[in-house]
Amino acid sequence: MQVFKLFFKILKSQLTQIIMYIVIFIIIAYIIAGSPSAMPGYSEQKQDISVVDEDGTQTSGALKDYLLLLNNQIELDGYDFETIQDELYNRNTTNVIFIPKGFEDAVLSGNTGEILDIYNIPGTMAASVVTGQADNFINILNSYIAAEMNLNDALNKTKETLSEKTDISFLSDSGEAASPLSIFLTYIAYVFITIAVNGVSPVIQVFNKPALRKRFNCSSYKMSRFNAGLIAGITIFGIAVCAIFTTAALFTHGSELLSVKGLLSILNMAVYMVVSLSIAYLIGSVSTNANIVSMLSNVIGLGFSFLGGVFVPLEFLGDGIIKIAHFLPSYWYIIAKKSIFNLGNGSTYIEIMQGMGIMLAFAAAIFTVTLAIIKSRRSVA
Amino acid sequence: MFFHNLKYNFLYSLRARVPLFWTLVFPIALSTFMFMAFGKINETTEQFKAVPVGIVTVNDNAIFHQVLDEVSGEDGLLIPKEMTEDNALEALDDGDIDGIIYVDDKISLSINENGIEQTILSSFVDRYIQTQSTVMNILETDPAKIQTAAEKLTAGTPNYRELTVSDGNTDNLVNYFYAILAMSCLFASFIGISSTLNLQANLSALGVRRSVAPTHKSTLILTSFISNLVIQFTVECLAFMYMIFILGINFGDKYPAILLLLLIGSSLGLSMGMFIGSLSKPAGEGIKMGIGISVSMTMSVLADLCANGIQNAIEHTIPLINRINPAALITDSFYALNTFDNYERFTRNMLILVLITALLLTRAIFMIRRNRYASI
Repeated sequence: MQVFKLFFKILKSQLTQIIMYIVIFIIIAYIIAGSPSAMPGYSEQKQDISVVDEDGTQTSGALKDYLLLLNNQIELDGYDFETIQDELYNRNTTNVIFIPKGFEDAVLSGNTGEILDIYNIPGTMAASVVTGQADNFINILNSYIAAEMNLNDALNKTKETLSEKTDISFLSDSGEAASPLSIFLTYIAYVFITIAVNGVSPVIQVFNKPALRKRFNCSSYKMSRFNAGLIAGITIFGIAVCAIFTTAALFTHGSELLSVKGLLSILNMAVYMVVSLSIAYLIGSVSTNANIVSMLSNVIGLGFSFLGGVFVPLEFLGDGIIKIAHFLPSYWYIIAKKSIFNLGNGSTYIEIMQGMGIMLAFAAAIFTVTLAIIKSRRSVA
Repeated sequence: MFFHNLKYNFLYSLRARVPLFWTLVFPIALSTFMFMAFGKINETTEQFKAVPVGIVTVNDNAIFHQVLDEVSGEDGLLIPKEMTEDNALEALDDGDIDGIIYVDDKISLSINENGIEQTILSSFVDRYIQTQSTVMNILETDPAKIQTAAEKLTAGTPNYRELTVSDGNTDNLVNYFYAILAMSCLFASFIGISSTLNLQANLSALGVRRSVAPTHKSTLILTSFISNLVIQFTVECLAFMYMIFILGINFGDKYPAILLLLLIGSSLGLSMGMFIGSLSKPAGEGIKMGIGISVSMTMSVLADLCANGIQNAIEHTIPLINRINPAALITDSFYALNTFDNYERFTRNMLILVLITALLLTRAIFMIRRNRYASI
């Protein structure tokens, strides 16, 4: 009991940092929960564009209306070179379209080649979609004008023609990506490692101080009781952190958590906590000062998250990175989480158990390595 | 005496492993992770690439197939694959194709996601239907004009000119790398703090020893600043070279200006550290380092270190923050160098950075010099 109490007494010094991580994470989680999720069914993806009508005629107005029917208008603070560049670079707008003076006359004379000036990021999907839409409008209008229709009739006919759309059937989609709970659980992989290392490692460091260690060894306090107290302390810490995040998830995504998927997710979270604690135990055992803990927690936390599919979805990672990721527990956490959310939609319980099993194997391996290091050090001492 | 002090300050800074970790190892590790994770993201999500689509022919439509042939190919819009319906559905489910076009009397489309690839597919089929409809409408009203009208529909020259405003790097994910270098420059404050503590008699034992020495405080301050600056600038250059030569990040080619930016950025970080270190309260290295980390990290996060778009959001709401936040000024200078041909924006940012550095440094020097202590 003495070691158990001492564990929490030392942990108290890390409390501010741990609370800071928890609070920041939960605030971000609330923001994510509040963001709208994808709507079912197909809708054409609208691009953010900026149309500048310098002609101010019926024809230029019709083109602008058509483009803004399919896209969103973004008004820029100015249309000078520098502002356009800044807004395109920051993706506030994808295309800045200038309909020049004399546009209507050009349409009437059938001479519209390269009439519009479109600023965009070359070679992007968004550029291709919007230029295609503008081109299509002008081509159809040109052909009606060439068929000697008057401008009014040609514009009406163009509008009518462009309202004809393909029949689109929307087949079922896996809902994994849209779930706010799924996003919440993804980021836990980063937070857990950071909290575990910053919380547990400094405590282990204190217990491993040579003078203190010698004092323990020569006392009548049994080593088994010492280890039991330490393990109990680490376990309670892990359970407490899991409980806090489960409660936070319950508040933000309550209904989704109270399901088979939710319960499996909590189990997955707990298994990842075991891995995180084993890493924290290893760092605490091999390092001797607080600076190293801080360095390692940042490098390991960020490394696992960037390469394991936490910060960037696995679909966007290159094949080589995915191969490296197989050696990271965070990857298996993400795989298990994905399988849980795709359960009944191509995933099975076996895949989930496999992911969790590999994480536990990681934990066991790390723990064994730590014990081996501790033993070799003691034999040297 | 000047060179003697310079030598020992230099050795002290070189052996300060913790600041070196944060200014060299950490930026290199972070940029490697980001590069590995983000390296292909714009290529995957933003860059145009032909959309793979399954074609299920129910009734043959020679004209549609001819159009398909025209838009497919190496630089084409689509990669059409003739398939049976079962195979197409399976391929769609596996993500091998983005949609299925059913060729019948009427062309229809099946998709299972909402994305820009699907928008491209629907736009393509819409365009076909609309072109067909235009021809039918003209045939109904005036068949004699169909030849001239049809030529307009398939006009060779596009009705637009695509213009670019810069030949520089337009991939905005490079912002993360700008922000890492900005963070690294501001982390120079760590060595600035510890060096300054060592100059003050009321804050460190070494400070006491140095205060009773006959060396001028100005010599001590100057040698400390120069040696730290040389090391920090070297460290920044190493991190920068790693990003350019190992990771292959495109920073543009205005290298002399970039080196100047790194030098001024390092001076600013150091001055910030010296300013924090010179404050008599709060005392203690731990708390001063805490302030250094919090200030540097907050500034870097506001300059897009953690999420792209924060600096842009600030620019549209409270632009003044971007004008005085050193990290934002550094990232904006990298951007300006990589994007614009002129140096107007870069020079403006440099002047503000130099001004902030001068203010912090002057304040720090005035707080350190000519102190007398009744008791310590």
